Amino acid sequence: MKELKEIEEMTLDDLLQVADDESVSAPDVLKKRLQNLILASTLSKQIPNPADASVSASDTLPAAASHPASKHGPASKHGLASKIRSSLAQSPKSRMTFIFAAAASLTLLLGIGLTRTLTPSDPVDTFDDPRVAYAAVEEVFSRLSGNVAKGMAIAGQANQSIEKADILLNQFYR
Amino acid sequence: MTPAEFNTYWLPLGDALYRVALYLLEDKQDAEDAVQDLFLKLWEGSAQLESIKNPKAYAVMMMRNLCLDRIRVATRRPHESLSEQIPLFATQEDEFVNRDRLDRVMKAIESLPDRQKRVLILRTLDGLDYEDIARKEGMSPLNARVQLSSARKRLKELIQKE
Repeated sequence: MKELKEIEEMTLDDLLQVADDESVSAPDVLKKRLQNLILASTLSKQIPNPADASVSASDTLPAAASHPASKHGPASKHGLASKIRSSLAQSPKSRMTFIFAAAASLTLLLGIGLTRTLTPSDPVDTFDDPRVAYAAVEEVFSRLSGNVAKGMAIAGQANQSIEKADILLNQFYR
Repeated sequence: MTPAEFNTYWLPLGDALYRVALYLLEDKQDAEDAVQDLFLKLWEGSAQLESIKNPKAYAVMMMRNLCLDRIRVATRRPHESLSEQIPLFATQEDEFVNRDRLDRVMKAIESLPDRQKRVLILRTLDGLDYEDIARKEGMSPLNARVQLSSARKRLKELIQKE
């Protein structure tokens, strides 16, 4: 390597002459390496660092679900989207857990909601005849299982929508 | 400054800066390391680069200063070669951790299938839209989106697995 003093005495023009000396060739892979370096630097800021994650793998529900702001209206695009994104950006296991938990919650709510709307306004909950009671229970169970099947189908569709949202969020957070 | 602008105005200076580094450090590996360090520094501070009127002169002087620092460090440790020393920019623990993460991201990028890598570069560094990428790569715009999404997904998996 050159001496410190020699370098310190070089002018900008001297250095530019060295820079423009095309008889000295740079490695062919240098440009590619520099491109990869800039790409890596850009992407490393976009991809969350697992070491910095404050949400553990067991926290599957997005924080937006209990965020106070969500009670007052739609959450901001950044707030809800970033929370869904951070949940989806977790490991595949916790991501699947989130999706199944969301599907299960949806199924339960649908089951409760549909049962309430389909039952008569004045439900009879006591029977004198055990055969009538058995028939009433059988009817309720068959309605429930139908609603659960509907809920599962809806959850399946929701799963597809979540995957589509994942693709869109990836584009949004570029 | 966008990655596309940096790619256009600063990345082409790589060869010239390598020649300066090689002249000053007189070692090919050290020169390559110095160029990579310099570009990382330039990119990290790219917000200030927009006001630079003469990128080449600016980058050449930065390379000179970087090489001076490297030589100063090397002369304090005469038994270690420059390429074995901890780079000047990683003397703080945070910077060392960041460089380690950067190395992992770079390795993950290199492990991507070629097509996904190309689409990722065209989109992230060159700033092309999906139609242009599709035209360049001979695929449909939808396929370009899918390739990009797969590349990002794969990178996340690789990086978060470690």
